[in-house]
Amino acid sequence: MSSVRIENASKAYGGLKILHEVSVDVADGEFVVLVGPSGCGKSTLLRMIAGLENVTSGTISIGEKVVNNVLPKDRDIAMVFQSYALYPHMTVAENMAFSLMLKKASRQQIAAKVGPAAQILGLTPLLDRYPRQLSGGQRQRVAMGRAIVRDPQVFLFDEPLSNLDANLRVTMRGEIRALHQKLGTTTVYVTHDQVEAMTMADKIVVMREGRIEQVGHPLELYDQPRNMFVGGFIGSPSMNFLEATLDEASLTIGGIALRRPETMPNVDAATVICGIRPEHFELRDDGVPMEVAVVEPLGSETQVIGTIAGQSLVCILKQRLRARQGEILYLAPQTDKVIYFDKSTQVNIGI
Amino acid sequence: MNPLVLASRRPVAVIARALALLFLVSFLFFPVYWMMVTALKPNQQIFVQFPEFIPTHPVLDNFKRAISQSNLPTYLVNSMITAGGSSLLTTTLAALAAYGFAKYRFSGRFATMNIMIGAQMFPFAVILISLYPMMQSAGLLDTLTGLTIAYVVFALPPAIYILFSFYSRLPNELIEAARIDGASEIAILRRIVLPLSKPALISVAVYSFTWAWNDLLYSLTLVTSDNLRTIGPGLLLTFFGEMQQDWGGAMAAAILASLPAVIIFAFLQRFFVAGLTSGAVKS
Amino acid sequence: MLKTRTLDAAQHRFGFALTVPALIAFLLLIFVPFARSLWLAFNEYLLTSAEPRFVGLANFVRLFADPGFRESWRVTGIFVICTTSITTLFGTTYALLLNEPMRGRTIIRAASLLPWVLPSTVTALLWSWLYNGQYGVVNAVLLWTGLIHQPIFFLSDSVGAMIAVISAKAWLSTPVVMLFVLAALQSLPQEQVEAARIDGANDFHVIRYVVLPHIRKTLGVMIILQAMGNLQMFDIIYAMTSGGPVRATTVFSIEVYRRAFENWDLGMASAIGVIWFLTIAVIAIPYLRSMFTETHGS
Repeated sequence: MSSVRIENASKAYGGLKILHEVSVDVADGEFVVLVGPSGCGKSTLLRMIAGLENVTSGTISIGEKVVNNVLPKDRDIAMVFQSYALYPHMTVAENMAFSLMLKKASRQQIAAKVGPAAQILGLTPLLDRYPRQLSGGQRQRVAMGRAIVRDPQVFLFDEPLSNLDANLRVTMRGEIRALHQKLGTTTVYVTHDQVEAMTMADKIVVMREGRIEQVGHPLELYDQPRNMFVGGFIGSPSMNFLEATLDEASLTIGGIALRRPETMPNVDAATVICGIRPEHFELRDDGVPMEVAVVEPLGSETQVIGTIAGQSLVCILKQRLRARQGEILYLAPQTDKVIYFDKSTQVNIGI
Repeated sequence: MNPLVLASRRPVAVIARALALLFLVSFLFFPVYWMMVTALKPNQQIFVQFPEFIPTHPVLDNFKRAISQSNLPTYLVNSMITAGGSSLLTTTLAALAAYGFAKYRFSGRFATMNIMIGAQMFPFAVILISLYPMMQSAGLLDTLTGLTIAYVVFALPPAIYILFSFYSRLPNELIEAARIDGASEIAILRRIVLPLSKPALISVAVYSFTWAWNDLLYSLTLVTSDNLRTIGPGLLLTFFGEMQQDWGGAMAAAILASLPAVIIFAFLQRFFVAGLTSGAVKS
Repeated sequence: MLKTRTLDAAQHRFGFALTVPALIAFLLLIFVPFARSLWLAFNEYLLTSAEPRFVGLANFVRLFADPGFRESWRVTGIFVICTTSITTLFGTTYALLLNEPMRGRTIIRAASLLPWVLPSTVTALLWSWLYNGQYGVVNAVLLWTGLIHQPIFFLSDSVGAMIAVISAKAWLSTPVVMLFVLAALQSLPQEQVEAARIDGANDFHVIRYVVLPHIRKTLGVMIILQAMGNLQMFDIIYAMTSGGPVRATTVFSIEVYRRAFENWDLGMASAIGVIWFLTIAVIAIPYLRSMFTETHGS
């Protein structure tokens, strides 16, 4: 195992720059998730680590060694692709043994590697099947098995779960995580699904348009997003953004003045954007009036969609309630949980 | 089973459909049937103004004569050699090139490939005008080797196009996975790409085989010795003479000359049809 | 950019190397001979001449003054247009009929490809026999039905010979058109047909508004390919009629063959070749353009 260090890496196709001086450190044994909307450059960055794409400028090191011009086969990495990329004309066992066979490993050596790996992934009864005879989840496991037998320095995952149905995705998420705990191999994992990122990562790297927006532990990103993009991207349903005006003593949202909270950072701005998580609202008579659009009872909680002073909003309330469309509910944010963003720079004022 | 497009049950429509089908089936099959019937008839039943549609006394005399009184077996062997050889050559050249064009981004690849594909417009006879003296100066005129090489002209451009379409659809991730697994570019080609393209390679091989097997123009021009002739000119020169009236023998020879291609086609038909219809080709 | 030192430079070299053998074969066997033939069109080059002699456009001037050449334009045109339209009509109709579920469809479909697999000399031989003037079955049927009273010597009659070569070529190519159109028909979503029926469409409406738009591209490609193939047709015509009687079936390919390999007038043969090539090119351009966009798009 070893660390991965990306320093000021850029990628351009012709004149089009799609990664801008990105730096990420992945510690030995760490599980790092690159997350962001499609087109943010996360897969490109992963493919640069794999050696499938050139690095336009900057360096990528695995362990102590700069690998910019090292061929993928000499990087000692393994990769699981979104489509699994199983070799259709080879059995499960042959798929898993392919890399060893290329290294001219003996029959015994191959068996000694493939056997245990198949065991770990529950593939033993399937070793003689062809990929087309397997279910989606089984193929996914074979793709992981192919990576495990290599015993590589680094595992790379490129959206490995996006072709599975929702239930299976939850199961496989757990399995990959458990596998990482067992093997302890350094892992870089790409996904567009923030839930995957939150549940799996030791460290999340949020990317947008070829730049890194924030790096941190999952809950750190949830509680202290560096800007509105990260706030909105992490968490589901998304963080609400409400415009508010400020003066010395009060915070005015939707025409209703609330007492300016003590946690409120010291700013001179007259208007700020309040970022409020859906679960950080409560019903209170002195709250801000919200016009209800939709009420979605989920059993354990109630999700209400509505508008405050023309700004749309989602909140999750612990109690059950019956409210009609057009009805007015009075909501108050838990003021100590509100995050304030600068209206023009969209940056978290509190950090 | 429900009708798809033609669903009308009106008597006129039903009759019209039946007649159209009958006409087309007869148009396509009757000539073949007639070829077989004629080949099985004795001469006195062939040379009549109103022939019998079903042979009453089938005989094999025509086949015996076709084999013994002509060089047909030699022609067949020559055709097998040249068509088989050029098919192998064309498929190999086209497979390597198409894979290179489809999966590697070297500069100039589009221009090069488009010129090669565009060569489908070049009339074969025009190419032949200058190929002939080139073959002559290379000492390949009137040799089976020369003819085999010349047959590459027919199928190379469409073969590259068909295989290019195939390789473009082959997922890049398979190649990348192999690269990460430690495979060299040659190992990828040998262990991943070629095994996976077997159906496409077969269909291209059959396609180029058929072109060479059918040829008349090139073999008529590039080969002059009787013992090197292929079936095209062989049949032509044996059975199309002014005085030639042995229609029974001609039909028997025609059947024998068709058999190899028909047998190959029958076995590989499945691959061939799928491979061909997936990328449009010259016909 | 550091293009030369990058990772994939070696890969690109490998990819290029793969294309080299085909490139060499292409240049030697196709491109150079073709280019040389184009150049010969501007030369006088007879069997008797040691070297080609540059004569500019003289060959073309002679050609356009030659009524025989104008005749071969007309003959080629008739042959290509008739054969292409008959083949397209038959092939499409046949595909529509075979598209319907019925017993033995798979076998009929596979067997229908037989004409296409037969060597073209066999096709020529077979159709010469069918159209034989004395004992041909076509004559027998026509006489028997009372449509004619005297047998027709098709291959020695200028119209008859044209009919004979057109039928032979249409017979050979109908299966191909059927095959491609059928493949296109089978990708037609049945829901579209059902939706049209619910909207009150009859069979003609379905064909006109659902089926034809769906197979239009395939049909277009097939028509172009057929036209290109028919423009090139040599084997069957040469074997059946040698371009005769007189010049009644002398299409471009036969004209070029005769001038080049019977009269050894390579300059004139090449000049016809140039005009022939340009005719094919005009037809082929839309087809090639669609191929090129496909190759670039991927």
